[in-house]
Amino acid sequence: MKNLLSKIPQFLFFTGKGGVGKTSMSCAISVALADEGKKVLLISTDPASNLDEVLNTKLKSTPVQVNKVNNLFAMNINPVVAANEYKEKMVGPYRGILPAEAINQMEEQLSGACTVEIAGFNEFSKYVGDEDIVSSYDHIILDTAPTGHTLRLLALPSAWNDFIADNQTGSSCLGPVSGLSEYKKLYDNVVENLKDKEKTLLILVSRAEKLSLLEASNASDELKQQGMKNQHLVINGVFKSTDEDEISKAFSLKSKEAISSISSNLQNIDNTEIGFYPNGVVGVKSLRSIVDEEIAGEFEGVKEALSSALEISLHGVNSWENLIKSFEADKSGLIMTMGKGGVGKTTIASMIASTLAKRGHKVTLSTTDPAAHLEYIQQDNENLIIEKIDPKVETKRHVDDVISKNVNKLSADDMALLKEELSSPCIEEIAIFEAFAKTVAKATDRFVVLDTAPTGHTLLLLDASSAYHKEVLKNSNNEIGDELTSLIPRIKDNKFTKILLVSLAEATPTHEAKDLQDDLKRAGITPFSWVVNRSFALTNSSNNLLCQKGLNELKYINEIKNDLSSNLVLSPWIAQEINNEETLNKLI
Amino acid sequence: MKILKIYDPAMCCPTGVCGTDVDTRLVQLANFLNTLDKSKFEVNRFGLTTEPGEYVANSEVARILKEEGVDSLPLFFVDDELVFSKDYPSVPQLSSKLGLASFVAKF
Repeated sequence: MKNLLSKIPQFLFFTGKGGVGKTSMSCAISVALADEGKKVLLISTDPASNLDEVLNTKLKSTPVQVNKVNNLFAMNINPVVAANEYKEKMVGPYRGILPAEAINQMEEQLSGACTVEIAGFNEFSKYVGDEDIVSSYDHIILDTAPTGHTLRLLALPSAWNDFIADNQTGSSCLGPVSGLSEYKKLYDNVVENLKDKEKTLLILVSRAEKLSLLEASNASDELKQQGMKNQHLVINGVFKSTDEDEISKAFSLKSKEAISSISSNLQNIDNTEIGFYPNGVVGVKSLRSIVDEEIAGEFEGVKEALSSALEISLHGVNSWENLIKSFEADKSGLIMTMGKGGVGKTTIASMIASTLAKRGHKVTLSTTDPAAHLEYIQQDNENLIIEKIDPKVETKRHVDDVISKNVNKLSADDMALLKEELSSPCIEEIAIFEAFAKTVAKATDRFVVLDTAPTGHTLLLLDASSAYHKEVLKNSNNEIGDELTSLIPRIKDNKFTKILLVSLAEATPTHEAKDLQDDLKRAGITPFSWVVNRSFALTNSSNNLLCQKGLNELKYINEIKNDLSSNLVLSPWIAQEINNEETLNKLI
Repeated sequence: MKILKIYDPAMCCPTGVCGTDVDTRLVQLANFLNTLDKSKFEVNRFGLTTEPGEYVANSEVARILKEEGVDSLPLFFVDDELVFSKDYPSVPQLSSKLGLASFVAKF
């Protein structure tokens, strides 16, 4: 940690998937720099920011002096609020004037993840690009970094070209926020600062888990290509076992294996390991203890506290047996798992498919995880068919298709923009969804289990576009269009389709899953059930750090059960790699 | 000087990028508009999401939207006369309304 602190330039950006500990790390480093006498501004752009709690200070959308830390100022920027303000600025004046249907269409167009991302970038640009603000601090620290997609998009001349924005040749991401073109110069300035090695350090934050490190590796490559070459890796939550408890030994071994199999591009970057803090990191005292590399303290009597609190929390939680029976009651249908990356969507989908097949139902399991080894669940199970959908292949097929239809019809700049738009996350989701549509269309009297569900935004877009295509392309023979058109009403039918929201019992994953649920509700869909996966509270470990972690999980299990869903099932953290029936069954 | 006004539906996606298919006709239309002689034609094209004010300011467009809803879009006006609605014209159809019959052969 000391080594890292010695090389921090003017701007520091953190990147990593939700729940890896970006906020804790950015706070710890900010406090450490301020303690050295540097004047620091810490900016959070997390819509569910808990910066107030971590720093024990009431923050605003402008810099506020942090309690008990001289020289440290902090503020929250909420990109969702910024995107909503932008949306309201565009739509608000026309409420009651344009028909409600037109207002709805405008709002949906301005509700995509891309609009939120660009609106967030716009907000923090005001701080990174403004000389007056920059010169009054020694360090400006942001707990999120822009994605490669945003940076590439902003660098394209066509993105700022009115012709594209007005003429609908296909601007999806920047088009809706073309009202921001007045900021072009500011953005250029910000992007220049990001690429300057002397000015900016990017910190990749990962958990000590294989999947999380793989994501960090991808982010490293992507941002390096965009010129953010000054990078540092932080591996968070490295657990080291000190006792003979089976669970704690297995957890410790898993961390160690993940770190030793780190990919070569990350090996070339300096890294810092951070220990396991079961309570998360809240308060300036504990932030300083991370910097000083103190090991998390012992907790007294937590095993007993956990077992009595767990009993109360489990009250009202559904059993897997009941959940499977409620699927069986409808004889057939579509079951989809949904959730952010790394929460275990594929594992849960495989377990459900395998269980239904063993109970004598015909099942098709369709997975988008190219690395999933699922052969073991197929053995001796003639009821089960497994179909793999490779997101890369599907996306390429879709992109090639779109490009080939536009080749020789667009200028080079416009084509570059089209290609960049086609690399947005929405496109991958749509391409996968097309592939799913084919699987589902084939299956009528069986269960189809999918390990990825479309977001509400995608459904609304596809709904609008399929209605549009039906109208415009009446005479064309568009097979995929037909499959999609028939699938969307079925997804909205809660008798036919059941969506399971998969989360972990932690702050960020729970709040991200809640956002996904809100997004689906916008499309008129209520998830059938929530699944809390990998819970340490259910492992019976006697290690006091893991018991303390389990106690913290109960807060989120209670929140989900009481406020977010009337149907919740739980699965324990399991030590083994899931590669046979026996370990799969431990999830239930 | 002929004035062409086009009022598009809200569509970040139906043009194809976010949808399932690209509508080649829209791409051709955009290119056609770009090739029009600027001294003879003035083209004004509006998007519902980006320029909703234009839909309200034009009383005829506002009336059609109110009475027939968003399905009436797109609307095409040549010198304030409504020439196409509900669907996009092909390039030859549009060029004939603009008095450019010779364009038909080219497309």
